[in-house]
Amino acid sequence: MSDLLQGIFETLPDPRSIEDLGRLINFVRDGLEVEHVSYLALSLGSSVRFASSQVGALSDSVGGWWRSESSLGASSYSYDWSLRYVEQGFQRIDPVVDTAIRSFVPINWKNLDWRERKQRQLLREAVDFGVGNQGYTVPIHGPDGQFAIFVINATCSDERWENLIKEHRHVLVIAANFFHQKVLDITNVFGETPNVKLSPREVDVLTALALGKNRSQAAYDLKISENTLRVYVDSARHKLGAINIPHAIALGIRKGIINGI
Amino acid sequence: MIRIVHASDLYRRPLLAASMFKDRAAQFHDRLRWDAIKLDDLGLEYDQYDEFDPIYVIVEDEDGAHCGSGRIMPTTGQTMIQDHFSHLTGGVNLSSPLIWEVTRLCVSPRLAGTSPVARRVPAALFYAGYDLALQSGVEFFVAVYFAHMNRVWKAIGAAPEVLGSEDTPDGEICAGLWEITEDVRDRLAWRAGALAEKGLSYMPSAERFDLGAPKATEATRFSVASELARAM
Repeated sequence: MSDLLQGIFETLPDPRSIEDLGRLINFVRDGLEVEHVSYLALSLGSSVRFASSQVGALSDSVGGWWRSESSLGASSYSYDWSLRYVEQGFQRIDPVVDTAIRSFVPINWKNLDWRERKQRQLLREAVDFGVGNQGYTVPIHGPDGQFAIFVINATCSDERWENLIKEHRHVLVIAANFFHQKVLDITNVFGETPNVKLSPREVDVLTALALGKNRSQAAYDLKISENTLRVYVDSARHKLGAINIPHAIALGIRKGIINGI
Repeated sequence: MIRIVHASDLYRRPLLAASMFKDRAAQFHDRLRWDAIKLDDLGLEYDQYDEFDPIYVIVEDEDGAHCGSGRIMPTTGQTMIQDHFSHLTGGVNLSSPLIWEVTRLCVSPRLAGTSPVARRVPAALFYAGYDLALQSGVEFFVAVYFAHMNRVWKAIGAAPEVLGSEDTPDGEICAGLWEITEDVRDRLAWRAGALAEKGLSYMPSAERFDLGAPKATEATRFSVASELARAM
């Protein structure tokens, strides 16, 4: 189990405002020992348009957040860089965005094409503004055209960066999707959050784990393999917007999905 | 050569793309005669899921034509298994960024079933899929397939757990679950033999570009930024 994800569950399971995202960003940044953590939604759904452009500070005095039209970002980058990126419309020439928009696999920035003049300029400016020489981006694609990226950056050697990614790639995918879910919750773009519907089997596996059984016991009792149990639990976790299994159980109980405990 | 190609990059390999959709037509329409399979006016087979930006894992021959392929999509989006086969997965709509679906596994009918290449294609496809999944932090593949494929998975050392099965007019079908591990990936590489030895070609990839190519020795290893700074 990941300490970072457990830490998020224990201390920050439910950010209530965009400012609160700063604490989440800080937490991930410290947990992974990277320099920057950022989130940028270029679409939160085909019909989502913010009435006014806005910028603000994040809690814990980390970076800032901004939104305009359909996009929303929050980042530990210096305010100056975030604003410059938005004002210049850099997302239109950024190879990270260009690749992420048509891909579901995470991207090591080093593997992208930065050769053209515009891209070199962008990269040089980013380095000048303290973004770092390494980047890794997890794309998030949701229903109704939702598209966001979750990014970590640092200044280090290629080797160190590859090791860091290898160690944390799994956690990064989960953290990215969690962050996106929290932004959807906070911006409340879909009105009341729809009730999560879990299938009976997903309820069974969560209930068994909530009762304190370990995975192999729970799988044995339910007459399924342990890996089958793992995919059922993970589907339930994802649908509940939980960051790990304890969080999924807590949400399941709060939402009245898990009964009889 | 094993290629990992995003749907949006298929146009860069027109022969490969056309021969893949042609071979899929031959396998799923002409040979297996699945009812749901539709061909376009050029006799190519593709369906709605091909439009959801999947990634294709493709074995290519020396001439750049298709030998075999599979299609990978995350289960957080629309998938075949959720749309049509959730009764084979305990009624659960599998949905997580850590679970990918594999569909349209195909070996080109041009290859004789007993040829050395044909026998290595399934292992090569799974090897590439495992490698991509491992790099992406993904834990499981799910797929719906005909029961006779169980023999193939077993032969390449990547037998899935069967989540459920049912009889259909076309034969018994299964929903399978593969746990992604480095051990199995390495075993698959060995089974894929020469096909895996040449390595994987990712599109878009570092290989296409000058920067960050894995060829760099320790002494010439510079960060993107410092390389660029020197170049400018």
